[in-house]
Amino acid sequence: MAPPDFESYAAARRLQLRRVAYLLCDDWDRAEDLVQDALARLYVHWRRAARADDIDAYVRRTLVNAYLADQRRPWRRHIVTATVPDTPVPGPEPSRRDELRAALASLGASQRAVVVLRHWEGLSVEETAAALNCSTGNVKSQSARGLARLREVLAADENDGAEVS
Amino acid sequence: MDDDVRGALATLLEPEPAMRSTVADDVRRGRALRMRRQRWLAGGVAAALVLGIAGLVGVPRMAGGPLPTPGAVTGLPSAAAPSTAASAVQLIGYWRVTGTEDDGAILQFGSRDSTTAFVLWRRCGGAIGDWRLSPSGAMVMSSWTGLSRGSECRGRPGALSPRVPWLDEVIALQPDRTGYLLLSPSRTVVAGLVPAERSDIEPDAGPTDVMADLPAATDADRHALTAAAPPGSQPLDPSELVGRWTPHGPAPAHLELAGDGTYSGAGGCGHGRGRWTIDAAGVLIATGSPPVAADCATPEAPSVWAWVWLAEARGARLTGQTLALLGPDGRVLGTLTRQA
Repeated sequence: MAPPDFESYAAARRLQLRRVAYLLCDDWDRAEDLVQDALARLYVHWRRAARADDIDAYVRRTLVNAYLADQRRPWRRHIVTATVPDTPVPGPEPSRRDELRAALASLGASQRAVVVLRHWEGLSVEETAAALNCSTGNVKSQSARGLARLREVLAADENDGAEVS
Repeated sequence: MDDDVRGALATLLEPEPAMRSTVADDVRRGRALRMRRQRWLAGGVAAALVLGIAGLVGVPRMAGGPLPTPGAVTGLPSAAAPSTAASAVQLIGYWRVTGTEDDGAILQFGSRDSTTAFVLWRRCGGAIGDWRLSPSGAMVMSSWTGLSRGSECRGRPGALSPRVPWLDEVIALQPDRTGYLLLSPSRTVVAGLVPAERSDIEPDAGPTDVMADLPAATDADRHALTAAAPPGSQPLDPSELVGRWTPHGPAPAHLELAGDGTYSGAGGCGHGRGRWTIDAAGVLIATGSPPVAADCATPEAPSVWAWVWLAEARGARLTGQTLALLGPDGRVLGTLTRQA
């Protein structure tokens, strides 16, 4: 089968790539930036990438690398300030979705990437390790710790549901 | 548990907003990135050709005012004008923009392997385009795509716009005490350029990691930046070329040279646009942009992209209603007939 052209590939995959990127960074705009950066890099190397056995793996690795590199940039770091911004008005109790988002946000960048690739993209340990350029052992330990954190949220939610019923 | 996690992650994706960019944007950004990496494929066609260097002369302004006379800019200290060669080569680098709506932005001029490009780094976002400078100091610039950093630029209206209106006014480059001045056809100062450093680029401006580095200019760059009018070219007035031209060939195509210094062209499945002019010495210069559509040529009807000839040309020869566009070595890149 002839390899796809870049436009066809990008059209078919950019939405899914943005979802992965969003789960990594929790910001739709930033997710689109990451996808654009990844696809721009893919375009540059398209001839080589199109011949690869798994183009998805190539672009996924590019996307995750872009995310991790972005996370390391100074302006992504939290800034300590002497002044406190507006005080939030007390609102409704956080939903399960909010808690899940907070749980994901509490994971480190690599740990979050492992969780998303393993449990959203459905990659194997080996594929995840290849995407993150790390060992399978590292993937397993990161995945276990990340899942443990999410499990706390999901379990609490299930318990809440049981109490209600 | 896996299904639970996947289902939980799925809930985070809702509601999912529409994508603000298109595949065409992906292609444009990919081309821009490839250009910055100087990895134009040989035959990859028109992108390299369109961006092929040619010096640029003042853009004619048939409707907007008198035609510029590159090399004889008035109202400014002409004694300050250095040799053109020095100007073109020395412009490669980083400059802080002053006196425009983009005051403080960093303008990065690059040239490599006969390919010119600029990047305007705003505080947030920016634009990518092409620049040409003639030996007499005339200059044109045009932007062809924006730099997107939506997540960083949220709440800053216009930060993502690829449009840089003041660049369209630029017709000449004039040295001054602190750097350079970009001039309009009426000889007013469009913008000032003050020397800057790469580190002056705002880190949030865009993909600085892949686009903000400048390769050193090569001898080929210097030659391309300083080339004179090719043999066989005529010192034509830009007004002589204004109109719609049809390239010789079996497929429908055209090149429209407008009196305001812009041009547009179409052929096959592609089209292009930019700015052009001819200076008093006969040097033709035109900015280029990557084709925005794939070539759909067939052996029976090869596409003709006359705007690529224009962007690659360094001179022109007009014989009756036939226009020949000449490369830096005097070779005829293509011929066109004036459309009635």
